[in-house]
Amino acid sequence: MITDSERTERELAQFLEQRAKAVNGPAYRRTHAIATVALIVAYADRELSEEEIEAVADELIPIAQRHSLAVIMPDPDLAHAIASDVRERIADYGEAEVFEQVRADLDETAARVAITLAAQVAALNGTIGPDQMALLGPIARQLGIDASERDGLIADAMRVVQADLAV
Amino acid sequence: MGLFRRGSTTVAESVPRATPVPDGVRLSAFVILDEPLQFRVRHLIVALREDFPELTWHEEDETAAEDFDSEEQVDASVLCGAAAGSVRINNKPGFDFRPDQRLLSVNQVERPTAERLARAASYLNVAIEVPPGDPAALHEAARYLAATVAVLARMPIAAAVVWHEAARVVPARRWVKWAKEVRQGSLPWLGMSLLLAAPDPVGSDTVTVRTQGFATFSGAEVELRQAPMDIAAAKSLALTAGVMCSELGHDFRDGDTMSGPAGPEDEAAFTIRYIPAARHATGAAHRVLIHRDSPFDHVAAFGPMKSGPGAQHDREDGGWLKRQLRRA
Repeated sequence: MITDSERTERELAQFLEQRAKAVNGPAYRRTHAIATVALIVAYADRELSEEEIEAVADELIPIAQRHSLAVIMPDPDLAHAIASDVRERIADYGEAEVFEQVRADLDETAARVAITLAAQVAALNGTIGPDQMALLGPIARQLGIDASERDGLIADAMRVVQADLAV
Repeated sequence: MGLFRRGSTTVAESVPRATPVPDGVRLSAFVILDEPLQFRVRHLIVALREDFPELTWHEEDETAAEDFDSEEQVDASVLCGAAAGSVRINNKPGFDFRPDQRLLSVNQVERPTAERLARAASYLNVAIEVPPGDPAALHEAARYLAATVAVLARMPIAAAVVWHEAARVVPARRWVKWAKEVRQGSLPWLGMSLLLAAPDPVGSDTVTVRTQGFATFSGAEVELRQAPMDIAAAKSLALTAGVMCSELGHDFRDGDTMSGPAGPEDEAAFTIRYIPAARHATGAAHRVLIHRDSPFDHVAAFGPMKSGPGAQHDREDGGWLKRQLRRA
């Protein structure tokens, strides 16, 4: 039995992560890649709040559904596992390398979902910070999304956030 | 003797049968992992229900809400089946779980799997105890064991499974495939047993082949002793005899005969000796096939035959296991 109170959420969710990989294969990799992009952007200010991690799990499915993209159920434990993993890998390798590791799993549709999710998570308090904006642009460009489409996706994300904040 | 012990014993000598326990037998498999696995039993139960919904998995077990880490000592259990038996999941830190080179060689483990096993960092032992003298319970327990192992083996970090009853080392993916066959109702125990084959000592042109682990589910191992044929043909014949016993309803008795590979033209090429468990060195009953040209003196080794060739048998009753299941 695990007694070490310092055991990370990533470790506790390992079984779920392994299971998701085994059962879902490509869909898992796609989900992991989308969440990773969102978390890279969210982590641009070197902080990753509980609220941002939960937003990745909560918002991924609705956004994917708007784009008719199959992803796996965003279990909160799994979101924590990916968040912890992204944080560690950014510390070890930097944002650019972590992005490169998942880029191949993002096709055109998944890229749009990733940018929308990243913008939505980054804008949780109503605005997207300059550090996060500085990452969103280059990542979108490398995913083949031009400036006008990127701005459209960000505007969509902002509308959702503003609507949530207005409730 | 242990499955993983290094030493001078042969694989055949070193592997116990379904381990006797005070109240029956213990079936056991080892899932070898690339890295330690942290898991919560409740998550495992959810996965078991998803992959094996036709089986019964209970949530009331006392360990269901606990978290385990295979890097530390694990003592988990999953309540299952109508009778609510338990599949136990254990490990012991420090136990040398990696199959030794001889076991890999006998199992013809391919290089990628062998390399993963060499680097493996952890393991989980999955076991279930079965009451004595109840073949239906044995079969049912084996299904639950196979299913639990399959869910663990399906994970990307699972390298291989060691099936203790046969000292069989198989890639994890193959175990998952077998478990599906079990789920569909067939009995792949012949495939899951180990077929040991080797030329006899230099100077003879004979081979000896025998199953290992087949007796647990079929009542007896099958052996070809000092057969004057090539290894491939001998293996094929041993498997055929195994299928005849387990699937086709043949109940070979001491002194029966069997045709050779050429079929009816090769009638009575083999004499079959039935050796009860108590009289065989391995502790398992054996059906030993002796080719008419074999130099092996079975009468000297096993004593006079109990019956002559051509005994009549009822072949409509579906094999040893099916008969036992009906009686249960």
